[in-house]
Amino acid sequence: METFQQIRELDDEESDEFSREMVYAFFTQAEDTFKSMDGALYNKDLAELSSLGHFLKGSSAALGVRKVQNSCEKIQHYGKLRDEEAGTNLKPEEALKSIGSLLVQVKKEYLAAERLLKKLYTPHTP
Amino acid sequence: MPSTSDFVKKLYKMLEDPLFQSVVSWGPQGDCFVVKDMNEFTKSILPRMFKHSNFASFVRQLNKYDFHKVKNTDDNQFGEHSWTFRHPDFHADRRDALENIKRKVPAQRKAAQAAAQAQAQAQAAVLSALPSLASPPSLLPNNPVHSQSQLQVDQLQLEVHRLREEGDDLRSRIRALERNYESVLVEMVGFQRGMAQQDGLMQNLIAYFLGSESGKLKATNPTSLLNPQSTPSASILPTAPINFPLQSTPPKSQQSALQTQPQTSSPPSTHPNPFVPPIRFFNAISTSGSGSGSGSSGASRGYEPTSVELGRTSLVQMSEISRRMNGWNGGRNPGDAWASGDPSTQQAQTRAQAGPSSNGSGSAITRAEALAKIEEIYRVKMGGHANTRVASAGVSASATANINASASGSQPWSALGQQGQEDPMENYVDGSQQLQSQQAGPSNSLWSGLDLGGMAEDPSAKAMLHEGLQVYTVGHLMPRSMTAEMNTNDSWNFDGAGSNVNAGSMPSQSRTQNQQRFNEAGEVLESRPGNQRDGDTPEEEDEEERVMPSPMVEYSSKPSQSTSPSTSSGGKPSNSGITFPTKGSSVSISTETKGKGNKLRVRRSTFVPGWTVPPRVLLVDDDIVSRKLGSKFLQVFGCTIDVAVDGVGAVNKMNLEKYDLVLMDIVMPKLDGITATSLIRQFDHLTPIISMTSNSKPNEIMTYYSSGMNDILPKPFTQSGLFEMLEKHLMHLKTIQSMSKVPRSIGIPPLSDSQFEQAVTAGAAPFAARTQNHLSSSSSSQPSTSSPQSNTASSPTTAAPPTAAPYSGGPYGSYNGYGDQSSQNQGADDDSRINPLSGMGLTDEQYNMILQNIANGESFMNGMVDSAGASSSASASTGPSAGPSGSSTQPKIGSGISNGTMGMMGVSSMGVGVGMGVGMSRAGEKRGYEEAGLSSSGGRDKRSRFEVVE
Repeated sequence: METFQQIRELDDEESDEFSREMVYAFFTQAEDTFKSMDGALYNKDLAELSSLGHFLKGSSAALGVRKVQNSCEKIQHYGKLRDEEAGTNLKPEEALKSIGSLLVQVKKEYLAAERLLKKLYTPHTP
Repeated sequence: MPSTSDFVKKLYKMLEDPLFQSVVSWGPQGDCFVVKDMNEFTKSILPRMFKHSNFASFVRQLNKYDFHKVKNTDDNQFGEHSWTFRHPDFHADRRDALENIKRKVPAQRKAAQAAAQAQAQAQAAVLSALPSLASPPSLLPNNPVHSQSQLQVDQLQLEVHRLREEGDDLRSRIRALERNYESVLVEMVGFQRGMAQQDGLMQNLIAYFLGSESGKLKATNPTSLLNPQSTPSASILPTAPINFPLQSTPPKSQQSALQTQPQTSSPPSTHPNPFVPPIRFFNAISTSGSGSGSGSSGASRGYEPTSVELGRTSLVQMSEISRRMNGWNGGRNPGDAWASGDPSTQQAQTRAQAGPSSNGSGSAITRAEALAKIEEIYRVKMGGHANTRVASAGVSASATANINASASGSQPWSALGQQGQEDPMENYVDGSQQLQSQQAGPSNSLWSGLDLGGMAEDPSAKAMLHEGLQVYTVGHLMPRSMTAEMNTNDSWNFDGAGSNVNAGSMPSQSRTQNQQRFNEAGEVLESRPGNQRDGDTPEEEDEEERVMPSPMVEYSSKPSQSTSPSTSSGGKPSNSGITFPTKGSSVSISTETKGKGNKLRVRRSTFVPGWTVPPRVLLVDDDIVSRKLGSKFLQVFGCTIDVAVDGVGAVNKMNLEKYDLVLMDIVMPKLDGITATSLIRQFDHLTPIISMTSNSKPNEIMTYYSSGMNDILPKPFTQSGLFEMLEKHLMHLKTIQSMSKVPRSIGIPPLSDSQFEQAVTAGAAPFAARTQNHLSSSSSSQPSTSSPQSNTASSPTTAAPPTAAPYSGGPYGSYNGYGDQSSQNQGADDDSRINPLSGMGLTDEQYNMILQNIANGESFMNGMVDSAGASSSASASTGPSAGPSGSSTQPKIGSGISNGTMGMMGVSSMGVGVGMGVGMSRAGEKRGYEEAGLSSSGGRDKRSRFEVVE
């Protein structure tokens, strides 16, 4: 939330246009990314999954959406067949399985964040 | 350990790889391998094969595996930069022998230690054994001894061998270091060159803005000219005043002036030396020109074309003005029987003519112009209504005011600009007042009121000047935006919103650049009028757009300020209302806004680093959130931003544009940041590239650096993190923070202004009184009144330079510097260059700092530091010799040096360009050393170091 606060401070006094724009851009982008992730998961393209995870990690981190960020980081690592927490390497099947469940989880996390953010912005709508 | 070690395997693999054949390959006999191009090897192969890019460590590792460098023979077929390594068991055709290659370190070390311990004893033993060895017959009997000594000999040989190896290693490392050093030097030179170029650009920009400013001044002149002319001819008094304000409404008026009076509009081009603005300017101008042509609404557009025309036409038009004035003199003065008026006008003429002819002091020109303007109005008035001659008194009084203002204003050039703005403004006031008075009939009280109004403007004008000064210290181009902020209603916004403040500050700072870069965009230009009208919009607009409004808003500021006196004195709300319908309320703003201006400034300085030129930053990121956030941060920091969404875009943009900094994401589609950076580095070695990444493990960071990146900004980045990066890598653009302190202390003692004010009021009050008296008494007394007026009017002008001189002692001393040092600074003869000078005084110091930083940081030019320090301080002192810092440093500089550098300094500080001054001065310094063969230790030091390099 801290990160996000910083972004909010960048807004003009009167309008939250900047942060709103950014947040909504994030929504669009994140949803696109999820779609791509689904596709990549379907194709068992681990490298793609990893890079998508990295990508979403970056944007969620920029907004301070921590949970999504962390999950995405895991996806990124799993995509590289690596379990950083356990410090072990994974087999592709394991990785895909983990990513599959993580993807469900991260989507949930994302939806929660989106709801929260949207709620934050709707009252301000002129 | 039967298996072959990884390193050797990799080595073998590398040599087998046909891709690398051009860089590293087996030797001709297959018993050694050759690194043909060390740089290429380090750059491309090492990272791929060995995950690092350190050639020295590669060599070290080779040595650990008992590879030996083969000395280059003269007829080496691979060139003298090739490295050949050999190992007895390392053969192209003997794969099986590879496993004999072992890392020798641990055993070796023990052996070495043992050898070291045993050495003392061994030595003795060997020595004692030698004789026995020497005698073959006694070999067998001495067998035990012999075997022992044999062992020791072996050990010693080993030792010697190892030492030799180490020597090789060291030598190779030294060579690598030398090479690095060389490349650093090259980079430094390139950097300097870049700086010089940049400064040249800066100077052009400054010149351009100066031009536009004086263009404004002159553009307004025509208006005033036009109106007076129209007044007599039209002789419809009521309409005339209305016309006047309408026309004089800065935005429109300018255009109308331009349109109706092309020839008068051309006079603005007073710039004797039309600077050479980048082609972009012309583009921008042409767009804006078309805009101005299209409609009267294009206030700002009108502004730009003016400046363009400015740039193109020059002295000719000045002389035209003077000619016209002559004509007027001839026509009007006799008719009016205003004998005493003639001398003064002629003075003005001569002055005005002298300005162009002298081709010199811009301040003189402006002053002359101001005078001329005043005189014109004055004359016109005379022509229009004999009764209103008294008005001339008021005018001349205000003329003195003008002159004073200009005199005091001439210290910093920004003040000049302001003065330039104010002159027209006051003229406006006078004109409108007089017109009003014409309508109302000449009533004494009215006139006195007007006079007072004129006088009252002085303080406000000075307030403006003060602000201008302050602002100037914050940013060169501040004044405009300040006025803009102050005078439009928008300014209120700034108080409230901190971010607004930032935003607002940016445009002004970045205007130079923006204009340079964004002018081309027609939309920006078009958007300006809208902004102006809407009041609030400018701040909320994008930076670029925001920038533009300021000039024209500035225009509006003039009238609005001028209204306040006119309305108060003349009590003609209708006129003022007509004049500034769009601007609305801004009657008494000028004084109030001061406070705001201050506040604004303070805030800004806390928020935004004062860039001399807004840094151009290329932000490369495929993530829109990061992009937006990054852009916003950068915007807040006063940068101009360009974005690319992937590596390809980044490389293309780098190819097309010049940026001060690149923020590069690593993981991107199409082309990742590392590859993009390597590509960019192939044609651009200088621009700092900072990688933004969330992958910041050490080995990754190594890769980043080896691809040519300068720094790492971990993601998600924070405002402060980004800011630190900017500060670190854009130090050279950051001048104003330090500047703002220096010039202030040196700068203009408040005394001067108050003195001036006093002088002005003292001078003007009697006139007003007198004129009133005269008016009431008889027309015959008018000549007498007018003559003192003219005297006084002229006296301030003449007196102004000397009075102004002391004040302008600081780096600001553009005017002074010009006058006093014109002999030194031959290159700087036009007013467009004067102004940069003042800017240069500041930047020189800043550059001095930077130079020192660089020198210290590199620590290879200790001598240079001194010289650079001396030179740049010299430059600071050269321009404004009265500057305390300058004077204090002068003694330090050897006369030889100062002589050697003075010329350069003069030229550079005056004419060449802001930081270029320093660059040049450095160059001058070097030259000075070399030519004069100065024997200062610094020079020697530096030289010797250079010799080492070469």
